[in-house]
Amino acid sequence: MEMTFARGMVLTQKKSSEAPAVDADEVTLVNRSANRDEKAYGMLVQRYQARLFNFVRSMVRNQELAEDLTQESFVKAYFSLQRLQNPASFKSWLFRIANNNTLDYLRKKRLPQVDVDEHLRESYVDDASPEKKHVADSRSEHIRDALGKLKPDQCSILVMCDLQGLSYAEISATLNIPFGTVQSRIFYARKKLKNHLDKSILFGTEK
Amino acid sequence: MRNNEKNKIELAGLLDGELKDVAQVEKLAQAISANPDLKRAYDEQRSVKSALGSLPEYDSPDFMATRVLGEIAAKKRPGRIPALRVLVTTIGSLALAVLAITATTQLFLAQNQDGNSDALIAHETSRAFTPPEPVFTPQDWREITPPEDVTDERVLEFLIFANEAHAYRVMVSNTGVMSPDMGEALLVLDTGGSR
Repeated sequence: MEMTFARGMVLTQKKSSEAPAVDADEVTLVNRSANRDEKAYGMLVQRYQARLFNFVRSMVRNQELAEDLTQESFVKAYFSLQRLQNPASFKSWLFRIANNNTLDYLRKKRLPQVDVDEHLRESYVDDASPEKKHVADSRSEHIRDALGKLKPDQCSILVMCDLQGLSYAEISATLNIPFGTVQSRIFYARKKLKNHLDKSILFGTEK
Repeated sequence: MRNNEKNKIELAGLLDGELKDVAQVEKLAQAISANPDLKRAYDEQRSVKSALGSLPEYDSPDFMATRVLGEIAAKKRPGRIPALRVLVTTIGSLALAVLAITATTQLFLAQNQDGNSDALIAHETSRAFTPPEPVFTPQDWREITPPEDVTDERVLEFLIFANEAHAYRVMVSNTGVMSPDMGEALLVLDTGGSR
């Protein structure tokens, strides 16, 4: 559904804010994994490794640490699977484990705010121009630095919503908080992040 | 003012397509059009979301599934006793040893066959100790080497500890007659015994 306003502002509403239906195949894999079928669990890991790694990596800003925390989260999930009451909610449950695991680590350790893996950063610009690549890299670095300045739980919820594309229902299940709280936390986290972002990035005036 | 703040918070839900009530969406959209402060807040939300959405993804590490399954297999390896369990077991064994040694001051002394008067009989019981009656002669006892005949894991660990660390001989009854106050095992502390 789209609504057009007098000032040219267009809103697009999603068809549904409900969590997407989980396929029967995943439920089967979860049930088999809960019965200690490691092959089935390996398939689940492959299914979620990219998303979970990106989630953790966006919060800890260190490649090796993110790999270790992601691995640790998957292992913890495996040994806790029998406590998962609804196999269809595996995704939210897995993200909850990763979120808690990562936040626990961040609370115990003091981590650098700046990404230490600058030389491994990827450019999203297909154009081979060195200047454009440099601009793109700098822009990404600035945004990630700003994200790193937020409190861990604020960073976490924005990563879930704006980087991982989780719905409010999924975030609500992951963090075990009501819809209204998800909404207000996201609002205030974005407001806080805005203060750390350069105006040229916010309003697209950069060249 | 409170209503304005509530409207602002709902901007996040509006932007993310999470507001299901069409009437609520329309009302909020009109408020945005009419209120510059609200519009500014909405534009900020949208800009931040757009900036975050523009970030490239990281490549996930190679062989994550292999690493995860490898760690799971390592944790499941048989015979690998968690360190905490070993610590708790050792402390428990030491505590039982202290209890047994303390209890010897109240124990009934039995003469062994060669006249060695150092043999003592100890209870292993969870209740207060009372000396066994009647007197048990050495013929009624046979020496065992744990884990023979001992099924209780806690007692077994204690007996192994006493046997190996302190050269205590472990005896069990041949007669099958046990005092009602006896616990699950009898321990003979033979301080003169040779190994």
